[in-house]
Amino acid sequence: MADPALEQLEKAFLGRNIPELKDLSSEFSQRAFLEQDRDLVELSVLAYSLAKFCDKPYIVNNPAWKGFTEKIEAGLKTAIELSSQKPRAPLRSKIRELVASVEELSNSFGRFVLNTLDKARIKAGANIYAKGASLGSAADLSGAPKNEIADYVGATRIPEKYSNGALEKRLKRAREALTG
Amino acid sequence: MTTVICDASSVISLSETCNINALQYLKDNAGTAFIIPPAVQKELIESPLHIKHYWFSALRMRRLINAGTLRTVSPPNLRKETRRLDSLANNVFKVGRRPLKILHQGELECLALASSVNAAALLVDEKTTRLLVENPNLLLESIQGEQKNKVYVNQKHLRAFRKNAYYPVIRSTEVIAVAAEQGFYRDYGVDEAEAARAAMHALRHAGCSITHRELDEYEQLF
Repeated sequence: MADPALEQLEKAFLGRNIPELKDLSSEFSQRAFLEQDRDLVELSVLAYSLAKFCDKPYIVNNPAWKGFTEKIEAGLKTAIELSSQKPRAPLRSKIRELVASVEELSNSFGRFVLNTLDKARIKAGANIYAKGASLGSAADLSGAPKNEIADYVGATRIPEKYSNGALEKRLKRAREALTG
Repeated sequence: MTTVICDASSVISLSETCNINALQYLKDNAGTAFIIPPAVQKELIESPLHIKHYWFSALRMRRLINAGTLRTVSPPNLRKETRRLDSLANNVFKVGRRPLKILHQGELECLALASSVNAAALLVDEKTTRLLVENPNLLLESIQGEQKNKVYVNQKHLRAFRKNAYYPVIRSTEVIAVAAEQGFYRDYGVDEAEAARAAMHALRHAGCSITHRELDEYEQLF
């Protein structure tokens, strides 16, 4: 049976549904953590990148956009067919091909040092961290650098959930540990 | 002399916020030894060394080790102990039949090293390792809050994990607080107290798992 999430991704991109693409990105990264599946991280990155592209007039109005969308739509159709088959290698290869197309388009615009794909990967990593993984696990699974995920997390409210114990007690422990 | 095991998350936070010298300061003034396991050295140096964006950061970390501020330690039983903790920690929580892999090699080696050298504390900024050691119920609550399906706890694994991996956990903010108490920001003159407060905020934004309420409490202290 074809992966319903891939079908949702195809539908969301065909409809240029930015909120749905972002939701799917989050869902893929959540599944990636649960299933320890890097292919799902790639799908998360793909969904997020497509959402970002759809949101930028200078991209969607660019002559390269038509060829790109045709490539993605055809690629997603193939990926859906492959998702109902075994082994997984052809599906994996197709997903990576789609991500490579995103990278190519992102680099061709060249406005930023960090391209869209890098940002998507950091977002996936931060999402995986928020779901319960350690920073190391999130970095390993997402492929994003640890410090980039940490910086991203630092700008969110994610750390607010993890207060444990009185600060004075923690500081007392620190004094004992650091100064003997 | 006390020994503190450093996770990569804390070293990165301190380095990114230009507070890494606090480690040498505490080493000089309080005799604290800061040690790291091989996996953390790999995260700080070997891996980023080949990425142009992080090349300089990796060289700065290597300089810290060459200067003796951080020391890499790899006792004979480290690999075995790391594997044991891996099999416990990464099987504590399950969703359906799938165990949640929550800790990575670097974090596991830090925990394994802590027991080998009888460390005074574990320095870690990221929240999962800290909570698994300090308050697994809070970690479970936060994981459950993010999952649609029920999260199960293997109490036997959890008990076995905590039996050998229970250490005082401190964060980079506590390192800065203690260093500040010892005069680390004295060079700032009239701005000394403000520097300590500002450093705390910088560490939060670099990813240290500290809440705004705790930051407010630190502001009152300095």
